[in-house]
Amino acid sequence: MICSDLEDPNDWPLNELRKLDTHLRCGICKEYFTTPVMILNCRHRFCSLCVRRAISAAKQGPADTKVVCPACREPIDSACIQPDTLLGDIVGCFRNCRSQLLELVKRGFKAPQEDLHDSRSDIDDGDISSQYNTTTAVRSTRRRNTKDVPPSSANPTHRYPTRRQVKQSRSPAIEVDNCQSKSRSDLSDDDFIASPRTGEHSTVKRRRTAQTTNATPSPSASVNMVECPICQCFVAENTINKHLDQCLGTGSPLSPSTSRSSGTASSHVHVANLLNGKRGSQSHASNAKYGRPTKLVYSIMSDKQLRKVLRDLGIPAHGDRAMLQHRHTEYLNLYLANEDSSQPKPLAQIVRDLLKWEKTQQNNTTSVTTANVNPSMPMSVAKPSSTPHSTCTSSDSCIATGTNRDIDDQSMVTSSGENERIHQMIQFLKEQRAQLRQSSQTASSDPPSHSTILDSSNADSSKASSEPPDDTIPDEHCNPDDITMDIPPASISMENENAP
Amino acid sequence: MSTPTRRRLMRDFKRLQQDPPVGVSGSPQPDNIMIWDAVIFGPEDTPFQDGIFRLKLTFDETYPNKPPNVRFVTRMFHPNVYANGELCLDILQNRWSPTYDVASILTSIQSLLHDPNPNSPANSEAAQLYRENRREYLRRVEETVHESWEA
Repeated sequence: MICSDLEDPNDWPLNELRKLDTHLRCGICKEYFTTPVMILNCRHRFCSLCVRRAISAAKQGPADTKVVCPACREPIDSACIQPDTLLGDIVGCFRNCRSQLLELVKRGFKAPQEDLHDSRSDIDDGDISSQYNTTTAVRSTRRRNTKDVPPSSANPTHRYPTRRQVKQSRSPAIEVDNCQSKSRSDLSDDDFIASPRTGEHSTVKRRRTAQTTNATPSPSASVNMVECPICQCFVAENTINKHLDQCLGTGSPLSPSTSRSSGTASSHVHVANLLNGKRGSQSHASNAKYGRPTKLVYSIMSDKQLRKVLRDLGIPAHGDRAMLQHRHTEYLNLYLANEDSSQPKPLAQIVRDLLKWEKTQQNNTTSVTTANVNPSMPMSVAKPSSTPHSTCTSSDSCIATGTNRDIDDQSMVTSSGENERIHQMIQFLKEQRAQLRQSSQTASSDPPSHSTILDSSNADSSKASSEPPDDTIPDEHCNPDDITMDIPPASISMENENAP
Repeated sequence: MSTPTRRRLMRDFKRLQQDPPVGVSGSPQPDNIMIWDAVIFGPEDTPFQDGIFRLKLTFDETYPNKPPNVRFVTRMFHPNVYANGELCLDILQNRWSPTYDVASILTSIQSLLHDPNPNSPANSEAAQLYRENRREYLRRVEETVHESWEA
């Protein structure tokens, strides 16, 4: 299982940067916000598509299920959702510079070990933030020592040192990444010793990009980077076409010749059109094929009517009733989320996304309808105002949870690989427990023995002597307020980090 | 194929590995990320202390908008755990939120162990003993703790 390509708040060595990274993520999908929207009552933010899907899923549940905010459980409605463009811009900026920033921060942590003799300020080994500050002091020391004081340090419009400055100052290599690239190879100083040909080529590039923007050229020697005129991020030259398509949302790639010579000009035209609220001519033609979906009350519609609606919208109309409803709901969510977006995709793309989604639903091991909660299953929580739930005397009432149980039965057959994995987890937890016990100075850190329960005096004596009366047992097993915060995972993880 | 659900599950796994909560752990099957095995250690200073309880979590493409199916593999004696290992827990049913992840599910189950609700019992015998004969309840719990070591 490869998880290494998933960027993660834990990539950051600084705790505050981890928190920042977490705050820029949707609480539902845990990815960076895509078209963030704000719920007007409680002001919690999610991706437009995520919250719309969450609302649809809640509505598909039992009739008495309230549609609530996933973070705070306040009742909400899809009408009280509004795009949060500022947050979208913030996330966009952060994503564009993330890999570079990460590189710089990581190097900042490594540098103090190499340059202790250069440092002009005290280094406190126990304090990460002061180490970081020291590193920047070290860097500026280095810069001051070089012959050429780079104008970039003074000029706020220059974001990156020029090639010559990097080479002379011998500061760490800075990798320029495109906004969607995943490569993070480390470049050494040798990579910046450009061959005459490459150097010339990059000079040419520098001039061309300088015409379009005020940013300095990329220092990368191995890949020619060009700056996107729309989002101002650097992309590899061979991917600029695709990148421009995405920026413009045209859906068809520009020809290579267009991108090199007149691409800049046509991009400006496109940008102007976008600013004026127009879309590319291609998307106009394609959008005309598809209708605008509206919210429907499925219960008053016949199958025939529903199929007609889907056909008029230009989307597939096959399948049973449940499939028709789900498809329509998903299309509506995709459409509205696209409308919320600052760079909407053409409808043809939305329909393609819908078909992709449908394929994943078909591959699903259980259908969506059977995954619904069985309303007759007694809950373990008694609501304060409601009468006590009926006692569940047998497990038969749980059979109605659907085909999940069949899958469970199959997966109950354990394999040796599975046992090994479980064994590894148990070992890890034992070590964790031993460390915690040691650190909190409890009786024993040995592996669980029969005497352990008797050893820990707290457990038995308090339970045997006087039991807490039943009325102190809280109504709810897990207080959702403990878990449902704006950024629940971060809060839980931060608590764990602070634990003794 | 990488779907949003699978991606989300990979993130959950990554988080569990990098930021492990105390006393709980889980991992998906190598060939199927929708089925997870999990282990919960009984919370410290409770009758469940030192118990090693295994669970199975089954996800589908509706996750995270719908909760997974969670079941204890280890035999349990608890007012809110059915004989077949299924749980009666609000956050896995009507109080589920798509912001929950595998870590929060497992830590909630761990805190449920020593904080049952006998008013809606899944195991009526356990609920009755918990209410009326705590000593016997503890003895039965201890039995399952010892049994869990042998698995």
